[in-house]
Amino acid sequence: MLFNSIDFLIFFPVVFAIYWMLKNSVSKQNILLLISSYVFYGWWDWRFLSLIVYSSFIDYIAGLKIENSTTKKQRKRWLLLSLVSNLGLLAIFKYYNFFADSFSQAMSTLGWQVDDLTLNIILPVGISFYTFQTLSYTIDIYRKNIKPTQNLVVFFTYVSLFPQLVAGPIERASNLIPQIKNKRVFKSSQFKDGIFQIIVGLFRKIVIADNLAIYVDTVYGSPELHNGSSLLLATVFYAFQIYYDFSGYSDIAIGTAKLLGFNFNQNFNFPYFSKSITEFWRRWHISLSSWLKDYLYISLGGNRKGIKITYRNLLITMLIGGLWHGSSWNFVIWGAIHGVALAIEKYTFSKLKIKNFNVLGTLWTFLVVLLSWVFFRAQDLSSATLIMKRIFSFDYTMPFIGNINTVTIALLMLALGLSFDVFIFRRKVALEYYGSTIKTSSLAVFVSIVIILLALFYSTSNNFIYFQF
Amino acid sequence: MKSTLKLVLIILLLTYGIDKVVYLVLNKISDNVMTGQSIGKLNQFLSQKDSINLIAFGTSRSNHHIDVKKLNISSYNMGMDGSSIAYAATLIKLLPKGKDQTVILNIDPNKLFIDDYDGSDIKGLITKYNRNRTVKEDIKDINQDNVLQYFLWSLDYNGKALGIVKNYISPKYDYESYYGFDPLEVSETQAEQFKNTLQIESTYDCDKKKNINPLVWKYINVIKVFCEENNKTLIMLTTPTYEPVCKVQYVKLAEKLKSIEVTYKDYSGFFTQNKDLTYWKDKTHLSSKGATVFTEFLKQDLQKNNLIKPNN
Repeated sequence: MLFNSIDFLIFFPVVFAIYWMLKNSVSKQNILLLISSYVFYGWWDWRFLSLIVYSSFIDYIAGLKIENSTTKKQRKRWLLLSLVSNLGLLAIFKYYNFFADSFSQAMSTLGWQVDDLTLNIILPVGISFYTFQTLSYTIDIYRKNIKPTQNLVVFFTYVSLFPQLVAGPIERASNLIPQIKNKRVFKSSQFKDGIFQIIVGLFRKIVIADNLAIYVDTVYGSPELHNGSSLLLATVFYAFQIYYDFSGYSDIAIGTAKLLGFNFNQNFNFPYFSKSITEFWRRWHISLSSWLKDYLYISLGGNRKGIKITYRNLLITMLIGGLWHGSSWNFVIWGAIHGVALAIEKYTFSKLKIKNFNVLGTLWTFLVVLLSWVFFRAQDLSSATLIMKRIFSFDYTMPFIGNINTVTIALLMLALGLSFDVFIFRRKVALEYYGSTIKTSSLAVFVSIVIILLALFYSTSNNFIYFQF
Repeated sequence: MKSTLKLVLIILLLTYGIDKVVYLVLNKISDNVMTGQSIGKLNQFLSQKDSINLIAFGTSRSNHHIDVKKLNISSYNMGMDGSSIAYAATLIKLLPKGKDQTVILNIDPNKLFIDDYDGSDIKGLITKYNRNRTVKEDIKDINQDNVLQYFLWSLDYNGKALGIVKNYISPKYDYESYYGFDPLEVSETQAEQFKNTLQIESTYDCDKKKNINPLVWKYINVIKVFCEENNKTLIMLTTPTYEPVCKVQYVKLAEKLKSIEVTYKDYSGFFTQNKDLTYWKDKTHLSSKGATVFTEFLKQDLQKNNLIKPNN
């Protein structure tokens, strides 16, 4: 079920009403959340619910077994079971075809013909998100950072809670499980925060991102037909499309959770205002970047084992981060660009004894990120190469405009979105808590005006970009 | 909880109120807009449809290829970018009953044989959803309406508000001399792009598209019946394409139309012997020069077949 669908517009108020009617019973509320989360997911394809149940069950058992193990060896074994089960699912559903295809190509380069090994596999929506979420649970128990929950419904609800099920934020058990266990109290301030963030998220997604997508899809759909300036413009548009698409999704998810009394962690914090790539990753998809840092970078040794190992760790972390997004060489290159940029920054900052590049840093950050988006968005490696060649030919003639009306709407809405971002950024109040700082009447006016803007300028909804991961 | 309910109630009431104000203001503005594709062209068609003798409908290919004034001095080209047969069918049904008129409809077999055609082009008439019963019924008939439109009337202007305001403040052209035909002047960049596209080999899977989409066929019959009952001469035709493909579809369509006694003229291959690229903007659209040559031939051919009278 999509957040920006009529189905969800009916589904959520029904769940919301029943949920708060059951406010005196946490266990009943949790059962309702679990059932509604499965309905939410099953709306897309009920068969893949079995994977969520399987993953939840394995990690529920593994968590308890790790805690009850008396020896380190036993603890390790149960952790290994969790890792193999979860990463195994990912390997089959997400990466099998990529590795099989890469293997065939490598063999053919060596002169050996191998039969087509790829399979017709559907990628289950959200698998990368809930897999990482459940993994963090068992790893945290193994590291003795948290205690496992005995309550099956609580754990299954943690894994499948519908606001964050299909595209995050990747919530840690340490934050979410206590909230699921304990009684939720309805607070009007939290409701205001939630409503504000949902409406901002909808605007970001269906007005800004989806209008920009029309131009981006046209140009990136056939890059061979377009000149360098069109490809550059489309890449700039894509930089904002993906930001508003995914941050918009996160806003709706976090806002929806607030209406149910949950506080999710912030997932985006104005990343394009960053003065370094390091800062960018503290502001972009925060739940993933902190996951990679805590469970991969630090596990590899982080920066504790010398400068060379630190660079290696940065690169490995970003390469795997790239692969997490999708099973193609484009994502690997995307990760590599970020890994190299992070290493360059680490080296420069330590030599010059500075923390960022100040004003030039914003430009450097945006350019690196922009360059990397070409690989992220292009359909394949050859398209990405062609696009890069044309952009760097610096032959900037008149760009393709397409439908002038559509491009004008996209630009105007982007300007509105960016102005809003600057406004909130300067206020030094997180978007997540801004709604409750506004008077009720002002909030009502704001929400009503945005609803009218949505009606007037929404674009035919594309799927959220991060659903494919 | 009380303050929250109050907030929700205020939001609902305010949204309802602002929505109606915005809708009425946009109605007022749009009624005075006679230029632009957003609504001006539709308004102009609605204001002229009862008095003109010949109207061309269809996609952008009709819009850019048929210079209707050369066919009949009292005419209008209602071809529209992104539209298809559902859009045209509803507009044809809005023509005056009983008045002798010639209706030219450009149809492209390659598009009529698509399985997943759902008539969504009818949404091009959405600005009239809450203002014209025929439009509303036709949109609802094929489930292309949005359930929220019952409450949020501003949705009628989705994606069009900006164009309407822009054309209200600064009209694009002198609409009094405009008759719907938009010849395509090709820039050097576009000509270059067209050359580039010719380097790419196109692939078509004609075998997968063997039957006319049932919804398309329904519309063809609706148009045919309306024209028969209301004194209209209906001519369906296919204007030139650079590279006509899946010719079997053309043959099949011609046979089907013949079986229900609808006049159909296939001009898709008109330029296939002449590879002068200046006749084209892209593979499906003629340039202004190409449209002039084609319209001249079309006029002679239709006159020769007594489908239109000599212009006066």
